[in-house]
Amino acid sequence: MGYKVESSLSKVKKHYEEYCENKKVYENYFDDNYKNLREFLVEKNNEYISSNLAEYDYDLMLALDLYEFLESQKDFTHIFRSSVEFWRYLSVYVIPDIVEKRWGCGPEEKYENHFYKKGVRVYPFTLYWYIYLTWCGSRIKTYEMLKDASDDEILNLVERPSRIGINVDLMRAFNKRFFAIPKNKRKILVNGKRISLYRVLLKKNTGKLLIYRPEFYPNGLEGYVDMLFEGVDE
Amino acid sequence: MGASINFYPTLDKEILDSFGAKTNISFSYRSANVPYTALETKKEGKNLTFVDTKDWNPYTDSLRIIANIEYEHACALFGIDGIAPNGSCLGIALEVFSNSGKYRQVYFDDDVRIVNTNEHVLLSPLFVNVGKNTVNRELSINVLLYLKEKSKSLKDEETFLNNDEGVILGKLASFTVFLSGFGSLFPIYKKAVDDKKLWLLEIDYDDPAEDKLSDSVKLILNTNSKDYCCIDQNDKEHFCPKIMYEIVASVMTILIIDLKENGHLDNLDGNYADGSIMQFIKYYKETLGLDIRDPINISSSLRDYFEK
Repeated sequence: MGYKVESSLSKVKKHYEEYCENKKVYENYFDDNYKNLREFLVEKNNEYISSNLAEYDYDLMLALDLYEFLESQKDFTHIFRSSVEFWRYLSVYVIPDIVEKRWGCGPEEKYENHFYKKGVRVYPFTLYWYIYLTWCGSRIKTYEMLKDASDDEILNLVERPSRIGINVDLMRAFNKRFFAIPKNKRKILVNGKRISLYRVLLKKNTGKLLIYRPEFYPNGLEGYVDMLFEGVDE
Repeated sequence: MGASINFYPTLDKEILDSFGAKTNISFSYRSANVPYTALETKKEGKNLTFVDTKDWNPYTDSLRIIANIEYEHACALFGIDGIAPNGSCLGIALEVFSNSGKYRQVYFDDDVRIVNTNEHVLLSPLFVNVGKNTVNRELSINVLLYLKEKSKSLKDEETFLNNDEGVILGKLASFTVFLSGFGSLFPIYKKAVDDKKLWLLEIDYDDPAEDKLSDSVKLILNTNSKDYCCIDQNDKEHFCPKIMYEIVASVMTILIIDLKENGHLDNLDGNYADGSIMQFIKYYKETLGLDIRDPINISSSLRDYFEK
């Protein structure tokens, strides 16, 4: 069956504007896949709101829920996983109320980006891909690894572009190594300023991928990750 | 820990010609457990398109990409006139990725060891299988030459050569294959639209240096149009590929004129985001000689390109 998508950006934009005005979610835009997903996420969303979670904790819990739900669906293939049209549709047609609760909505770009405008910033895309690139094999292990992280890590990981596609195994190995570093060592001093080590290492990876490939680096992925972490106080 | 810049010599056309490497990329597909069927491709510059896509369905069929490589004079790669130190050993890898599809796979044969010799070598084929439901827009394919084992006794006169294991020394071949059949970098949709027009165009961008072409431009082919049969690949009687090329040329002309009128083409020397509208225009201008001076030249040079 797959998932319905809307390929016209202007139609998505129009639907978003209508939502901002009347705050209505129309079920005639859903197929069964979306209906089940929405019911699940609304229930989880309500649970987390009543628990008064901090923003990052809320994002992490909802991200784990979204990831596990989609991974259990046979129609959710890699084509949908990487499809900007799918994430936009989910955000604007299926769960706009959940996105609004987290980010607000309105005609400004700062809201539009999380709904449809900037592909890597569309809220459900951000949540799903954060877990997809950090998954440790189980919900509990992934949660334990990420519970002390922040929205800064989500942003740096998910929004970082790649020129040569994404090696998921590399990203998971990298994240497992990074999040084993004690929290108090995850910022470093550069020119008197404390900056994110995560961001520095991800940028290093972007640079190294210009001349190396992790797949045939000496000792493969493990060797490549060791190279990235050379000199880091772990 | 800044960005890496490679100051060492890498594979250029002259050394590649001396090396005498020949790389042939071929494709085949299959669904379920039937044998693989070959897919014919057509080359347009550094792009490939499938001649007939109707048999391969990215939702039901896997795709196999095969690189057949042979070379004559590996000695051209080594020493002070080459790119690798004497005593080192090189490897070859087939890299397949899709930026829009967030996909990547690499295959290399650990038994491949290119050393300083002067004999003809035919390598076992390198191949990558892309599963069904994985990518449906474009695939980039690189055949990479890399330093597999460093030289253990680097001579003084060779210290300017890269002796770092794992480093990429160059590409033997590089292609992009468009999976939708018409070499399109922007989505082409077939829809039944309540309109007499054969095709409709949507262009929506804010910053063409950042906004992806695939997000900003959408060509919709109207299956309700009485002339749709002329662009329907399944209609053997009426299908005329030249009409499709004229449509794509018109779309690109409109896009370029729109960018020009909004002042975005005054200077094409910027660094543009991957997949962005401006990167696309820059590529076409520099690589294919697209003339963007005025609407007549834009349209004419595009149609010249499609006539090749």
